[in-house]
Amino acid sequence: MKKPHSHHRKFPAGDKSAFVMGIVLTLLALLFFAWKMTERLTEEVYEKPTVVRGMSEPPRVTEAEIIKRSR
Amino acid sequence: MTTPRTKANISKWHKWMGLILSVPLLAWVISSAVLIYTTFDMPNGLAGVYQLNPYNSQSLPLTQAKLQPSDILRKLQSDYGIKHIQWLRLESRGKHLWYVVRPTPFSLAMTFDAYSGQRLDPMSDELLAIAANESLVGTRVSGMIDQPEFNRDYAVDRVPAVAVKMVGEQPSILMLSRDNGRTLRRLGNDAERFNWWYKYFHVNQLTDHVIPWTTLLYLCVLGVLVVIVMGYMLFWWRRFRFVQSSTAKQPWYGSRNLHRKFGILTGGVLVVQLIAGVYIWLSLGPLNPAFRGKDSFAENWQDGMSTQGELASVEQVIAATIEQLPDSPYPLQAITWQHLGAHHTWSVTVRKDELPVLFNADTKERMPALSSEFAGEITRQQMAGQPTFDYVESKDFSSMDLAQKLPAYRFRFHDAQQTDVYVLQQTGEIVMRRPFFWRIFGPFLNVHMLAFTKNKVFDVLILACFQVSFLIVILSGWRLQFPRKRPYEKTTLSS
Repeated sequence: MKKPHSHHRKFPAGDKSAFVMGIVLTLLALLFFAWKMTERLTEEVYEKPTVVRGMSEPPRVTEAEIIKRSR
Repeated sequence: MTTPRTKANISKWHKWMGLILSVPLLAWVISSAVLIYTTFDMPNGLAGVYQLNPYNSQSLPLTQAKLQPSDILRKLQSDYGIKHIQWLRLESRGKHLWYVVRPTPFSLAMTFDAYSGQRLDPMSDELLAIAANESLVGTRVSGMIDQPEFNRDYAVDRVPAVAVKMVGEQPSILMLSRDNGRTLRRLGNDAERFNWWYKYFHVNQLTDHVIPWTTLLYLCVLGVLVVIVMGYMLFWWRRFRFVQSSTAKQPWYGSRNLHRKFGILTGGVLVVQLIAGVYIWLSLGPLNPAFRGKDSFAENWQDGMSTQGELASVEQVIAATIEQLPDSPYPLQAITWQHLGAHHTWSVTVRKDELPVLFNADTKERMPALSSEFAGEITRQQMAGQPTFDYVESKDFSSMDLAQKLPAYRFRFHDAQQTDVYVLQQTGEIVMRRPFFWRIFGPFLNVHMLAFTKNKVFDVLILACFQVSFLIVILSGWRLQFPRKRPYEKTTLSS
């Protein structure tokens, strides 16, 4: 039987690229998740209350607004 | 070193497990396409857009109620031993006047006939049909089925409810609670289709038994993950394998190439999507009560209104408020007696599709809305352990009862779950509890749907590419599992 030549010991055509692309896509998906989660946790930790307790924002529903809505 | 025998076994397992698990995988892929298609251009998401009936169909003055609110309080105390309630409401529904009582902010309501005092809940189908007919403009009941369901406002696991099919100008399904005919959810045709595909095909919940179906679902996910890992192992072991020219002539050889290339290209992304999906269903399925903030219910709630006191009669409320209310061609639709903090209040509903007008019952003056401090303090009484809180922001928030967005305050409570609570500015009603657990849901959903950007079209195109790849992997896998006869054998036979 004919012995395989050295060029047979390579990835079949296109497989290597697909494999590398698959790894890159997976890493991108993981990176995207890490980025979104970091963003969310940063909001949670650092962008907490814009107004501290004890300070009150006036309600946005005014009497005029109620009358307007009711008509 | 892996032996050839092990490799052969893994190949066999990959094939057979893949074949079996391709069925749920196909269901997940197809249903996700339907879910994306269904929600793509919905103007208000699954909540839909509805026009509520502003007035009761019968012009029925509330003064026709034979019983006064104080009579109902006495009845609650003597017949049911209830000492405190959250609120008491008199409302017109069709030709009926009903008193509805919410004993606590987390309990089912009690409904009484305002003429006889008879307890009406759990409401019959006939009474629920009346409530349904009064709900939406130009829309009437066509049929109903019993369908208890989860609701985040109630402590009970399942609220006794019916699904009412509505026909007319706004065809839909209304989920009405049997305690007082409250609309728990509205489902348009699209939302109904979404739910059907989601429940049966995407998360495979064929009955209401969450734990067994979730176990099966997660076993399927685990199986698919194992199949993917085995696929990568097989690819790696065979990466240098010499392909015989006779193999290359096989009719399934093209499928093998497709299966291998698309498998290694998208398998990893599918793993990430599946793991995110597991978290998502954990939140929306088995852990839903905690996810929806039910753990923060103050079971020992003692705020509210004593049933020992006297309340102003219907006539007294109307006489004191009518001059301050906007003009209306119809009688008042409802009056709610409630204690908000130290204030005795009346909420007078002029139109059922608008916020009620709030009055201080002591001064008989209008209260434009609650300040954030006051609303926060009322909310604190409804939080387990009465934790401290911070005011976060003021924003419009969806109210299911009024089918619209209304001004609300957002508070962050310092409980174990750091629960955010959204409270309507006008009424002090809690419209949503969102624990930390829920607030980190977004990134999981984004990665599950591969929504990399905020451009919906672009995101859907990316997802569609992956969906097509998964379909190619499934179909080519089937092709490899059932190969046809080799052409050269046919040739040999024929010659």
